[in-house]
Amino acid sequence: MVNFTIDQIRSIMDRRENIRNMSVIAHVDHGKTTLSDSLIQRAGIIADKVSGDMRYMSCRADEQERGITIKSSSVSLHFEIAKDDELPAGCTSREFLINLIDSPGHVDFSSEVTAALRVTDGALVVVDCVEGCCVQTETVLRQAVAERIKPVLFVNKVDRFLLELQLNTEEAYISFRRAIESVNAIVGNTDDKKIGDVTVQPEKGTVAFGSGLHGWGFTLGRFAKLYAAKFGVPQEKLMTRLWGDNYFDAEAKKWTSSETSASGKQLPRAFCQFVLEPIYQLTRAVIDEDNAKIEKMVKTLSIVLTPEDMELKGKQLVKAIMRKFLPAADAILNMIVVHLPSPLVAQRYRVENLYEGPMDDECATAISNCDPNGPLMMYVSKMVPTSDKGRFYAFGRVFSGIIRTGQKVRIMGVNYVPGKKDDLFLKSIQRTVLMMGRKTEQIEDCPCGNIVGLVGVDQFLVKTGTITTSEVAHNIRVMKFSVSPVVRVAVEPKNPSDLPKLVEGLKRLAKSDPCVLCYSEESGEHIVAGAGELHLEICLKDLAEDHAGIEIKTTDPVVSFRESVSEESSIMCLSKSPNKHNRLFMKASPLSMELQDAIEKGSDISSKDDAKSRANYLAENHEWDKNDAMNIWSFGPEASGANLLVNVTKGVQYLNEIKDSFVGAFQWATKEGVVCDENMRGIRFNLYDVTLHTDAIHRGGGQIIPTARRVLYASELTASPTLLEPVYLAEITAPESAIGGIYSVLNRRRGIVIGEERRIGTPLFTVKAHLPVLESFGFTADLRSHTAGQAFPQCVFDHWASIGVVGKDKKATDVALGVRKRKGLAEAIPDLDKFHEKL
Amino acid sequence: MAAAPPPSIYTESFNTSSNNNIQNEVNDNDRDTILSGFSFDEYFLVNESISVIKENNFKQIALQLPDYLLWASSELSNKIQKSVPQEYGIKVFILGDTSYGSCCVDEVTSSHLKADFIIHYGHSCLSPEILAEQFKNNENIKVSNINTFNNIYLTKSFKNNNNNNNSISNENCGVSDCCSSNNNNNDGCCGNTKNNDSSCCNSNSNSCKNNNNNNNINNNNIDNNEKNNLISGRIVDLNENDDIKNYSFVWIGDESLTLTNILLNFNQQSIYRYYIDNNKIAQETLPRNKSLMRRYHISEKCKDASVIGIVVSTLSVAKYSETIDGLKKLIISSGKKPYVFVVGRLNVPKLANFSEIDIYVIVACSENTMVDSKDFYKPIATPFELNLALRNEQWTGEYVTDFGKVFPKLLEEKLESTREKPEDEVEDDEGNIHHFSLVTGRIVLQNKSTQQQEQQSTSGEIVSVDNSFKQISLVENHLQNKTYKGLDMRIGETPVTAAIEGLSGIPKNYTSEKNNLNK
Repeated sequence: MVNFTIDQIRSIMDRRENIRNMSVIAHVDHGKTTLSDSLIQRAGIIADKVSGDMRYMSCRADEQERGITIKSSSVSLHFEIAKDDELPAGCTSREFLINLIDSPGHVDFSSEVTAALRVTDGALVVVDCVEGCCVQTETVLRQAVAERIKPVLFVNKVDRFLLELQLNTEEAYISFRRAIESVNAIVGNTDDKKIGDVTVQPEKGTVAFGSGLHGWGFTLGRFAKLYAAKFGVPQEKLMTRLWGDNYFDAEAKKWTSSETSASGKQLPRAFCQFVLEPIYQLTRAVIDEDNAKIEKMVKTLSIVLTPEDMELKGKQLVKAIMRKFLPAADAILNMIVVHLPSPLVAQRYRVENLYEGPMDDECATAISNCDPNGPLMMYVSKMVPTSDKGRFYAFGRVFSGIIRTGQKVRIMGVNYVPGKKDDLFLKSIQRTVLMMGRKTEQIEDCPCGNIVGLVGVDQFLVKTGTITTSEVAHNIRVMKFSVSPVVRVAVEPKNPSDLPKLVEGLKRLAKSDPCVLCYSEESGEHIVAGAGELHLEICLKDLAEDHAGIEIKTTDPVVSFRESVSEESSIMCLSKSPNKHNRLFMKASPLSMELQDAIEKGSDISSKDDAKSRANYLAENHEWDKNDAMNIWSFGPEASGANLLVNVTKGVQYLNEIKDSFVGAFQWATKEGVVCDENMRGIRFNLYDVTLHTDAIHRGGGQIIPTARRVLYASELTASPTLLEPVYLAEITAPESAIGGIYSVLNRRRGIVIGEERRIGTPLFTVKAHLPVLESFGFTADLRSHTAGQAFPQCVFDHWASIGVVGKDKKATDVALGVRKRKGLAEAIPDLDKFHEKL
Repeated sequence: MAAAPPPSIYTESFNTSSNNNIQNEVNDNDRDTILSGFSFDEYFLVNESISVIKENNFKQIALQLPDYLLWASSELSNKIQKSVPQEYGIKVFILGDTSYGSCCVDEVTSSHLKADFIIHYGHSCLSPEILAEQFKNNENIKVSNINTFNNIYLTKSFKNNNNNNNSISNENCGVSDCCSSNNNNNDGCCGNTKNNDSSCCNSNSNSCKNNNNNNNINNNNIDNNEKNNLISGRIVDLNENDDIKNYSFVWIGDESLTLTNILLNFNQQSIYRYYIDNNKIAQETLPRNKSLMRRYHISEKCKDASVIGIVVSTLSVAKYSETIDGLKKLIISSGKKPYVFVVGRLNVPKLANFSEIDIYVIVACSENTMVDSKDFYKPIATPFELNLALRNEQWTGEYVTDFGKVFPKLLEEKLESTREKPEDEVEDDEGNIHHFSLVTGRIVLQNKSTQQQEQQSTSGEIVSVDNSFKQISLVENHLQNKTYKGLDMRIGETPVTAAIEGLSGIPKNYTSEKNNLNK
């Protein structure tokens, strides 16, 4: 059955130019997994018969049940390019290894896509030709281009044009063109010189058309080859004529770009005439049961039908003939091999995006050259559960060097800093395995450019990390997810004595998903946070059934808030130390939203920056005083958050002594704000003056830390404290008739519509709205019931928005009190008197 | 009531607020509510106390009062002093400012006074005292607890939430503070019936008195303490085949730390509370899932810590020093570093002085061992939690607040083979053990390599050269992360300036401060 052996694959793994790492990405329900089936079937892993219905890449029971993909999964395929096809540049062998990763399409699982993109160099973008380019297509495409992943396009579900919608060829062409244009609109506006042209063009062979379900597909090259002999035109030249405004004037026997012939007759477009028409005719013949015509056509196209196939009728027969005529796998695999880059090519331009360290050290050079003799550099992008409960394969890509069983490696977690020992572990690799969908195959070693699973390192990594042999290696950059875990629930076991099991389960869950957050709070609550309701639902189900195996109780979903301020502190806040000898004077003021976002994004400004360049950046972009900017003591919480502690004192003696204590208190206070113990965000604390006791013993940590915390709280309370809530950007696709229902649902849920547009070429509208996460629970169900199931929403976390000033606005106060109650804190928001002291 | 019991599981004995002024003057209302209808003499059992003093010929008498009763101290001491004829030559002291919780008998201070009789007023945790063991020469120190009112009943028959008092029948094992203190000094210096609970309680107290003989309640017998059937310092006499787990509890009286303590220790049994004021019984529950989860969280934090501070918060409860030794050994054998702190009454600034410590573990009487560490810079765990965390034992839902029960476990050698290894625990090539911490979301070093461990465990009490070297390097690690590393002399670099006048007055409000107001 399987038309290749592991040894065969292993031998290609050494020929870097013959490897293609690619992921399949698309909007939900556009047919990624189904399409992957036909590719896998081509490799002989699954039977021809079940291809299209099998969903080989959906390994989990719930994936099969729901018909959606939840986890991305990887499979290695062997493909041999046909003898008469030209080899891509630099290749000497006709054998190729294709590592294919199928990814989920639902927005809640976008993090899986991110993890897939990181380890691949190319992406097969699947677009439903009827629905066109959808929201999630857009999101993942953007991400792909940002990661410097080259896309090729597959226009899927063409069979629906023929069988259901019965569009004529010209209409079909227009739909195709629109789909291609919208993809190019997204990828085209990045002016990334290094990666080169990333637009997809049918005439260049980077677009394929077909039907994943029926297992057929083609690129223009396929037809160009067919006609090349007939017209006596070279294949490449013909390809460009088969797309766009090119017509063949049969009377004049020449190509023209005008749609009327020399004699004034309306001409069919070349694409329609030479590509679509044969397919249409074939289909029509089958549907009309015109057996004579079928036979004739089958013969001219030299398709050999088996006796069983001959007995089929209608759609089934179309399927049988079409996949013989235009096998999708061949067309797509060919496209992948020819047009997607090999690791050798891709890593040269990807290295800058991947590596955190200097571009001239040994690791960067090795990655850039994809050098098997260089130091090992591997990035683990996700964890894949093994059959051994609680253990995982560390799944990732080797960027340089060779990883071997038994090799001693350095495992570097995300918090590793070169030269320090934090988050660094030394361990030998137990085993290396090849991921084959549901199965794994053990291999001795794995050279660079390949995707591999590791056994024995999972316990040293939380989710992702870098594995290297070089002592000077920096980390490979952490992935940036397009979604963030804003919806959370607290879980507890039904039976208190199951608590340890729950904790074990949470640890497993934390590993198994790139995006989910599991942590325990000061209050002892165990929190699971996910990107959306569906994500959370799946995570909790996994937790109860697989990871913990106990009955759990979950609270209603809650959102995390942020405490912020809206004005400068109304008074100069003062706190005295317990011995009254030390006084701290401070005020709080808000940071601009742009700066908050920039800090959280971490690309323009971060705590790790050099103080001087950071000061320049702040002065230039955020109108900061340069002196203040030079005196930023700390970012918080976790030394990286969007709150700043700024020392604006002048000439205070001993100040450097209390800095550490003060920063410690700042980290503490920004993590647990005074209003309701939530993280702070966007507050700038200015330390104005300090009086310190002259004896060091009286200004130690014991005096300073609690006092600094109090003055920070006092500053927050006097600066019109606000609560920030997370807000989704909701994109709702629905027919015009459902718009009214959408608006009424949004209105009830404090949603604000920010845009509405018709999707060209479809009867559908897209409504964009900001929807508070707090109001989003049950939104999907509510929307469906109000629009007769016609509206399809997709929510992604967008920004933080203020609910109002705590203590002034009812809503904000209520929310704050609610959070306090949930956390078991004293009910009232603490008084200023507890923190601020009068002189 | 001035001593309103806390609703949470946390002790309030260590008051954390900085402006905690001892109330010097208690207005008449407060006084009346505390006395609740009894006369001063009745409430404090003055006459009984005097007769005991006379009978036993005590000379140095120490009075220990909790803060809320301090207003009575001078009156009380005067009364006792005056009522005993001069020729007895007694001396009465008031023990002010107890170093630890007011529920514990302050033996250290009273031994400084060479006191031979301590009268302890107010709520008592009835922790077994060390006295008889340690101060053999002082054997005649007697402790008398007064005004500890609450009674606990163990009952098998009481199942339904029934308002009927009769359901607490004679077959119950009665346990009461009053009884234990009664036996304590063998002379009935505090009467059972004379507590300030309202009269409807009397019948129960009587029945308890009746049962007294059968129950053999004895608090002085330390050997008995080793037995399991000791509930918060009260001894329960059970038949040999009986398991305490088969019983339900009935608590008579107000909410108090003892009640929450019992709720926590017996969190799998049902506990009822008898409300004296409105004569009803209701099941009492902790938000136990929540409180236990919170404690579990602290326990998890212990695993992540590398430097652990042992806070000594009692010098009188039996086996405290053994417990400290046990904790030290356990911590060292886990490749962590222990430090012992004796800071008297806990407060935030005291502990915040040691920012190098990752977590504290407190050795205190069972009612003061739960410290709500919300305001503390670093959390405070109990010996039970630490033991659980460092041994990586499976927690079964039980909870022990009494370190006397925990400490035998502390001394057990760690047996690697007997325990199941948690799946997230992993050893790297250098032999260090790491685990995945949910608290920080990181992989944390849990145990140092076994080699070092062996070295440490064989060295025992004596700190070897290697260990002291390690101690230095540990501090050094911490220093590296600090920006301020100590005084930098910079001789000759700092410009010389003339002396200027500093502040004058007291720091709470310097004399110059009026001018600063508008700043």
